[in-house]
Amino acid sequence: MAAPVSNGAIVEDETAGLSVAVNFNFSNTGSGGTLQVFQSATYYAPNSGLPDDNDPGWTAAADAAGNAPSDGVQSTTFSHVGFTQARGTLMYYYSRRKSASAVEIGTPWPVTEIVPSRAYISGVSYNAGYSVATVNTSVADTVTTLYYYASTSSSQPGYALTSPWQTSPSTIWSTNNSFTVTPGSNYYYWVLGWTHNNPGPDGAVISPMFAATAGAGSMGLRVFTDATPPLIRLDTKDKQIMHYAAFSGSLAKNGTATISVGGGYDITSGDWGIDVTPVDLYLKAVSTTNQIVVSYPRPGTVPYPVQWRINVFKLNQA
Amino acid sequence: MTYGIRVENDSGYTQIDQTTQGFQVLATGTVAASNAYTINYVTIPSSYPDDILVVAKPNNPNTNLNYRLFARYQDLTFSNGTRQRRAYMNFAYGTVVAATQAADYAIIQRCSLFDDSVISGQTPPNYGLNVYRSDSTLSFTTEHPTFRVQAARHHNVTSTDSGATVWYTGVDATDMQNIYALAMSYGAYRYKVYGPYNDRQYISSSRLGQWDFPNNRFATKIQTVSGSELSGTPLEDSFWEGHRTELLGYIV
Repeated sequence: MAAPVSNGAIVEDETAGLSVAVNFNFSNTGSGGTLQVFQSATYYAPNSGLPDDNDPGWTAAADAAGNAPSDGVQSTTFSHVGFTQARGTLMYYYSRRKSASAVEIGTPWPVTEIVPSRAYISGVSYNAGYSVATVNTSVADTVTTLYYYASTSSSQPGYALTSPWQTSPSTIWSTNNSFTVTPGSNYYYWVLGWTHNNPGPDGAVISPMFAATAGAGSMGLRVFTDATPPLIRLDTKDKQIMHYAAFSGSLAKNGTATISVGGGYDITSGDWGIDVTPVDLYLKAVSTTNQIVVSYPRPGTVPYPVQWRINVFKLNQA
Repeated sequence: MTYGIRVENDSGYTQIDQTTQGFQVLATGTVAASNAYTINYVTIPSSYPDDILVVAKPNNPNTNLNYRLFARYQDLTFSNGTRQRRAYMNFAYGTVVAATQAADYAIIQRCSLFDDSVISGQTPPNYGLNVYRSDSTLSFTTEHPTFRVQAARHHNVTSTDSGATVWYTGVDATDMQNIYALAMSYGAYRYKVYGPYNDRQYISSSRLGQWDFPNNRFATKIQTVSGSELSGTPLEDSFWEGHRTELLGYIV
């Protein structure tokens, strides 16, 4: 048998997912027996006898269509697909050719892949004069290096690798999570999770944007429960929705009902919303400005009237 | 304002005043998984008021997949006067189009016009914040678990605009596992018939709430199934037009 030769494990880091798909690539798939691949969080030295020959984690290599590779040098890289890797982890990928009890291990042994965690900004804190903003965030792993960016523009900064040989983020990203800001101005913050995967390409994933005004902020009231740790039962960022009214009735075939909501209801203002039950293709709830018209233009025989209900919500309490 | 307090948040919206209404949780539970042909339900107790709402989230989801909520609320009074209120809900997930997965639910009610009996006997007593109206009824309390709304959306559904889009992104890695959505009217959106019923020539579309766990976001999603081979102009094309409101929040 001839040993397989891998040219690396490739993942698409720049996604929001909690895990990423892994392509285990081969420039030469070897020959004889069956090409098998193995994923593990554990490093096994060459010739250690591990992972065990009969470990059920060994699986036959297959491309996206489920086909086994051709033997030998590949004119186009062969990718085994099917592995996924959680963010914030280092995983090892092993390959071999196996025929009955004969085994030929692949090189490199193993291939490593590190996938960065996606950081989330929990808040921004300030010095006494609100002239220095400190971004609060963390990740729970040891493989992700965090970089920080602040701007008065809400345009997302560039962060992805521009070449496979890039070994650090562009210089717009800072290792310092504190920024000089102008009190009263709006700022937008991002955190970049980066992994140094040498010799493979580095990993990069950007956080969601966090917007904050440099100042006291967090105006409002926060109430906690007595749980351990305390849970927030009312927060300043909660959206205060009012279930303003509920109307109900029944309609026979082709019946209509008109509701005057009152209270300044205006569906065109963007501050109000309505919802209708039950789910019925023929139950219509149409609203213009301050009224709701419910109708039931159902074709065919309608043995029972529909018993409807309209909920009216005030979405923004000015 | 004549009574109590008024609190505005960073966005300039009223957080609390005498007319504020939080959402108080009346009950929580789980609607069991179902087979491919039925959707399970929770019966609303007859003692509950008329203006309850129901919210739901996937029960013990596989976060490598997305989950889509089928939910409908039914309030029927039969000819003998018996009233039956049910909240139907189950989840389709991954590539499975049938709603078979269990749902965690909460029955909530706007927190207003309550008297002190709502919060009497609490342990610990009078914990949290209560805001009273001038008539001594409660307009707001944090003594009971609440539904904390994080996002809301309103859309006028038409035949050409279902409103299907991503409209909420999780604020941290586990956020979507805690998010409940208003579970009253996620279901049939459009039905096209191309041939005789027995030939099963149809396209059925549903407007669903989607927990997109892999991408850590929530979307309104159109899921379509069809029967047999379809061609030509549909004999019937019905769609559920009108206004819909969607809410997302936490039960705390």
